[in-house]
This record gives sequence, structure tokens and C-alpha cells, in this order.
Amino acid sequence: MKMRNAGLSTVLLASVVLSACSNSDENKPVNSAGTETQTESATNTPAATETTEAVDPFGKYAETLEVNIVFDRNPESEKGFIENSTYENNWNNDFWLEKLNIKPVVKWSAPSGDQFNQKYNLMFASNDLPDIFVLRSLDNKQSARSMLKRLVDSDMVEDLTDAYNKYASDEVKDYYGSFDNKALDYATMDGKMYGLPAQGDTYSNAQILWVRQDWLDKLGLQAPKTVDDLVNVARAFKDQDPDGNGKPDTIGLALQNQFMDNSFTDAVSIFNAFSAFPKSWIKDSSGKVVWGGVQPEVKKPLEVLAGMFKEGLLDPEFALHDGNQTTEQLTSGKAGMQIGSWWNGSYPLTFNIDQDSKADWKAYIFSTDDTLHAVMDFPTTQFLVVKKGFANPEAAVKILNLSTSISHSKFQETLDRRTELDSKYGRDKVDAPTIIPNFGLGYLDTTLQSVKKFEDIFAGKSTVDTLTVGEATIFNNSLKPNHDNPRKDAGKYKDYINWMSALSAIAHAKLDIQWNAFNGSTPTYDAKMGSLNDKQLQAYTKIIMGKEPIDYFDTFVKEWHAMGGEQITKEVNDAVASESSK
Amino acid sequence: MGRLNRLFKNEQFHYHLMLLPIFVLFTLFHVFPLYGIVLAFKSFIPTKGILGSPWVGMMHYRFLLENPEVWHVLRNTLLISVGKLITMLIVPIFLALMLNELRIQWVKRSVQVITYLPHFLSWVILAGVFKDILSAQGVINMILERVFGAEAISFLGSNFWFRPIMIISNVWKEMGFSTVIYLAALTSINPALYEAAEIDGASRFQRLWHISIPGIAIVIALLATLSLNGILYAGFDQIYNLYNVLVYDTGDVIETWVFRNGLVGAQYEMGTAVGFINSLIGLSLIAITYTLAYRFANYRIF
Repeated sequence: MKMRNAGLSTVLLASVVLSACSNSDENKPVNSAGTETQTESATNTPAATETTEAVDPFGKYAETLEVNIVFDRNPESEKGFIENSTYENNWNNDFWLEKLNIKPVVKWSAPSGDQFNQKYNLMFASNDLPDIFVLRSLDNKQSARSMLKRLVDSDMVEDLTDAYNKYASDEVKDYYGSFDNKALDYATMDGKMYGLPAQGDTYSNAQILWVRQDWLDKLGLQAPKTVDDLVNVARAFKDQDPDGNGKPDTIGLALQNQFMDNSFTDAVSIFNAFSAFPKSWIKDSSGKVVWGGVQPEVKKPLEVLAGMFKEGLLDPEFALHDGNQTTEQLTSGKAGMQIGSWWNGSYPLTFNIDQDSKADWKAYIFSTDDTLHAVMDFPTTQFLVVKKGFANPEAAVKILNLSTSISHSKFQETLDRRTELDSKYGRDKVDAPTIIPNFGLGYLDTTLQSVKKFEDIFAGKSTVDTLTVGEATIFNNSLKPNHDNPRKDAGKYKDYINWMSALSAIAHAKLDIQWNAFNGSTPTYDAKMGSLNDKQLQAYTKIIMGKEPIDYFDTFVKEWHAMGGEQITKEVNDAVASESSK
Repeated sequence: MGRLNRLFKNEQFHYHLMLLPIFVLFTLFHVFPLYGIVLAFKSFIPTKGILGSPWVGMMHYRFLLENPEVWHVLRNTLLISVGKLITMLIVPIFLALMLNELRIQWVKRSVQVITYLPHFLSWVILAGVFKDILSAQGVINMILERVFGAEAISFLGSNFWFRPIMIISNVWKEMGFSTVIYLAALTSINPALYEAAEIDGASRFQRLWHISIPGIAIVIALLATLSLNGILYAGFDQIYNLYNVLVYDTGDVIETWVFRNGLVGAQYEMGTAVGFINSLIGLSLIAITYTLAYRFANYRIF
């Protein structure tokens, strides 16, 4: 669990870097939808308040505005902070103070992981919120939107409609507009916007297959393209002693006990390859919302996995192993494949790369029909929200404006600072990040656009001039050096495979993305979905491990419906219907 | 006035005064928080607080009873905790009697120290150790394979083995510590009884049977009565750290189930509802056994 969180924070870190590299269309006019919302709310608000005040999206407060916040400290990253840089006191906090005159005041902080999550969840129960915070689901049991709904119902958060309409920068409006303002609608309840929705690089979240390329080469195998290929490669990895130690001690595919949750060493993509979506609400042919986990499409991938288990291509005790233990298997060179995300080069594969200079990882897409199928959660999984009664709700909008600008490298001093630190301390040392709750916005395919640009440059089809400042930083700092001198620097090599192997594979895949059809919750959902998910994981695990025959799936489906699944499906459909009729 | 005077003059007055701090602490931290129990009958809304949230009657209990999982979870809880209760009565008594018979002091001491050390290790640590020992490549499977040629057993993934492992590992961890009380009780037995019995020609076993055991019977009855309170608590730390999805059938107990569905799923009301029921059952069991102990063994604390 801890390790998984470390993985997550890597993503967060990475996404900050990432969003630094999208196009900045400053000249693009504000889209029509954006103006529409503006006029709409103008009718809502009494005209008197709008008259005199000069509205500046990046306006600095005359007096220092103290904002009460909470944050999670990552003990791992903390080791990499430069001297004199702490979470509470660092250059980035100063930067915000200088730009907006906003000063964070720590309400509490806790190490990321279980400790933080528990405190975070308890803070809602005890109605003890900080002034501004990022609302997100830490346990994946309820969506951020249903958390927001709860807070709205309990009258705990501020209405941000006016603040957004007045203070949002053109840039921010452009990003929301690129997705038809769907994200804004998502944060809106009864015509009032209660949070600033996150929106950013999304399509790159598609899961991919990481393979030990050196093993493939050694055994003279082709890169896997289909699920059958995957099984064949796994078989070869098990039988043909790819690590050359003369012992049959390798397994094909690393898999962990929570293999149904997208993280790493999971199996969700194998299900997706068969257009089965075991952990999502999907629309069936008649337009009804159904739970993917009990659809007949799931049977085929279960059979494939059960076959792999029987042949010993999976670890015989995988159901007892969490992320830590599967990471260990990868690190020690026992497993040659893992399914995961584009950033897995940095975690967990990093340990294997550091330990074994021969280990060479490459990412591939596989499916049954040449198309990468995936259900993704709606791009917005977190909201910037303001506690009810906080006197300066527009501060949140200003924070969003500034953080979006920062993440698209609009501030030369942040880039200079990076260069300065790099030359002084090397790439491993950084300033502590600001603890002001923020996230920068972006387009849904920001990174994929970038990867294609990088490829064109490497192919000689274009030049570095086409890159934005952020893209150029990544290109010059890690991609180009590794391209010229492969594997000379392990850190650059990991970045390189993350980008030029994993993200590139996604960028060139035919994507078939569906949005999770239901993100909220219903009374029965709240009460019973937890047990049903337990039940599902249990049934799948048993089938894969051969403790139950494949037909047990039908029994499970019946039980699932009887144990509340039917009622939940009905409620979900009602909720979806009422949402769309609004 | 005269009454108060009498109270002050009472010889035991200063003893009663010593109860005061306990009384205050108990009220503050044990009696006062009991109001939270109403959560079991409410739909909790954070802003309105526990007392201000609306009443929902027996809704949470109805949900509990409707949930088919509850029954097998209850069954697991009872099987594991009764198993632990019985083993934790027999083994420590046995161990205490054995230690009591030991005449060589340093052997006695070292056995006692070794058996009582594991009590101080948390289940988080021990779970790691047990997972290693019991894994397919672990020591136990290695012995089974090398010596008996048996196939590796996935102990922690097996519904057959999970409950016995919980009970045995719990005994291993706690037996030394529980022995302390019995050893203390044994020292309070008048040595003259043993001497007299020896003169009368009683064998070692007869002395043990007719003097030692009756001598600590009251302590045994007391501890057995008290331990019934926890009949619905099968040991969260231990099970949570050792179980996995494969053994939900036999290993999922009330506490782990409530943790997954109640706390992780933010259903505080349901967690409270279950806790309340647990306490009620524990209390009534204590009352019953206490009455029985009084009636049959003529034993009472108060």
C-alpha cells in the first residue's frame, strides 16, 4: 500500500513536469462557451458588486493573505530537497508570496500514505476543513464528485461561480473550453459551481505492457502485439531461462493481489483487450448503464489468465503478494513482463534498471483487434475547493490561474531556478514544492502531442524550434542526451523509455476511450459496493488460481445481483437518467 | 451534617478518596464518549455533528441483517475467537503449572522470558515474519518438501489452514504473557499444603491436581469470565495483516469486514452499529457467566 502511494506520488510529480510541455495558444480567442457562462452568471449576480472593483486574474493582494492548508509530506522526496528547503519554507512558497501575496499556513501535515489518508478522511467527518484544499478520493471507493456532493449537501464548501467568472484567466478558460467545458459542468450542482475541476493530460493514462527487451532479444522473440503473443512470450520467459542462470526460476508476468485496480503489475489491460471493463460502469448496446465486472466479456480474459496460472506463467502465490513483493520480483529479475502505466520506467522498474545494467525495458500495446480499448475516469478526479465562509474565495481561482501558467512554463524565473539548481546540485536535488494546494490545467492529449514532436525531431523531420519551453527542457535534459549516448545516465534512460517507448506506444495506438459511465454514488452503492468489489476480486482470483472452474463466474454474477448489484444498477441508471435530463 | 462527619471519620475514607481520580478519568474518557453510540441510529452529517444528525431508526441494523455476508463473517469471528479463548485458557495454565514444577531457577526464568517476549512485538512485524515462514518458499514448506516430500502448501492462501494458523500464532505470541498471572496465583498457595501432602505420600501429579489447580481455580474462573467480553473481537491486527482475498471465506471477521466496508468506505454509522452490538453481547455474556460462576463456584468479585 505504501509503495503504491509512492508510485502515485511519482505520477503526480511527473504530471507537473508533463503539463509543462503543452502548447500555449495565447492568441486563441476565448471560446464561445466560456463567454456564455459569463453572461449567464452575470444575470445571477447582483450588478452592484461588479461595478467598481478592477478584476485582475493575476492580481496581487495588497495585504498578505494567509491561507490555511493541509499537505502530505513524502519522506522519499524530502531526502532530495536542497539544503534550507523544507515543505514549510522554500523558494516555491516565496514565489507564490511574491506573485499573489498568498501565504500558506499549515493546519496539519502528515506523511503521504495511510497516515495522511486517514487524517484527510477524518477531516471531513469532523468538519474541520482548511481554507483551500484539493478534494480528491484517496481510497477510490467514492468519486471526487460524490465527495463534492456530500460537502455541498452538508453546506461545507463555497460557491465559486462568481469568483470563476470574474477571475479565471483566458488561458484557464481555453483549457476547459478544449473539452467543451465538460469539466466545469462536472463541478456544477444546481447551477452553482462548487469547485475548480482539474483537467489535464488524460489519454496517456492508458495501460501498456512493459517487457524486458533484453530477454526478448536473447530468446529471439518478436514484440507482443496480441494477447496470444503475450502468453507466448510469458511461456518463453518461464521455460527458456531468459536470465541464463540455469535455474527455472523466472515467471512470465508479474501480478499483484489487487490486480483489478489500475496501478502497476495489474491485469486490467488484459481484460480491456477483450473489450471487458471489470471495474467500470459501461453503457451496453441498449444504452443502459451496467457494471462491467459482471458482463460475459469478462469470461474470456479470465480464461486466459487461468490458463497462464495453470502453466505457471504467473506467480503461484500472486494473490498473497502486494505491490511491494511484486516490485521485489521485478527488481531481482524474476519477472520479465508487467502491465502498467507509462511512468513505470521510473517506478517500479527503476529498481531493476539500477540493479541490473543489462535490464532493458520497452513498452508495447497489445489487444485482440489492433485498437487500445480502455475505460477512463472522467478527466476530472479532483477539485480545488474553498471552505464555506472563507472570505476570499477568488484566491482559489487566482491560484488556478497562476499554477496553470507555471505548469506551462510561463514564468522564466521558475525555469531559471531549475537550471540554477541543476548546475549547482545536480538533477537529484530540488526545491521543496509549494504547499499551496494547486494544479495546472492542460489538454487531454498534451503529452501525446509532445511525444510526436520529439519523434519528428529525432527523425530529422523537424527541429527543436517547434518545442515549447517546457518540452524543450525535457527534450534537452533527458531525451536527447540518452538518444545520443544510450544508458550512459540511468535517470535519463528512465525518462527516455517513459517517453519514447511508453508514451510513444500510446500516441501511435488507435485509441478507443470510453468515459466511466457513472462516477457518483447512490445509497445502496455506498452501502454495498465495497462488499461487491470484494466479492468480485475474490471470484476472479479463485477462477484464475483454478480453485473454481470458469463457470463459477455465472454463479458469481447471480450472487452479485442478489447481494445488491441489481438494486445498485437500477439506482445508477436512475441517477444517470436524472443527470442527463437536467 | 452528621452524616458527612461520619463519612470523614470513616476509617476507609482515604481509600475511597483514592478512587476519585479514576472516577473522573473514567467519566471523561469512558462514560462521556458513550453518547457517540447514537450514531448507530443516525445518518451522520458532519456539519450537524453527532447529536444534530437526523435519526434513521434501525436502518443500519436492517442493512447489516440483510447483508448475507454478515452471517459467515459472524461465524468466522466466533470460530476464531472461541478457538483463541479456549487455547488461551488451556495453554497458559498448562505452561504455568509446568513452570511451577520446575526446580532449576534459571531454566524457569529463561523459559518464561522466551515465551513472553513475542507479546511485545506488534502484529505488523510478526505478520511479515509469518508471511515469510509460511510462504511457498518458506521454512515450513521447505521442511515439508525435503523431509516428507510433500507438495508446497500455500498456508495463508488456504481456507483450511487460515483459522488454525490464526489460533496457533496467537497462542504462540500471547501464552507467555498470560502465564504471568497464573504463576502469581500459584505463588499465593500456602506451601504448607504441599508439605503436608508430601508427608501424606501424595505424588507430584496428585499434588498438582489436588492443590495447585484448585488453588488457582478462582483466577481461572475470573479470567475466563473476563475474556468472554471479547468473544466478538477476533483480533483485528493479526487478521488484517495476514489475510488476503483468498481466505475471506474463513478469515474475514467482523472487525476486518467493518474496517473494509465501514471505515474505508466512510460508513461510520455502520461501524458504530456493529461496535454497539458487540459491546451489548459482550456485556450480557459477562453478566451470564458471572452469575453462573457465583451460583456454581460460589465465586464473586463484588
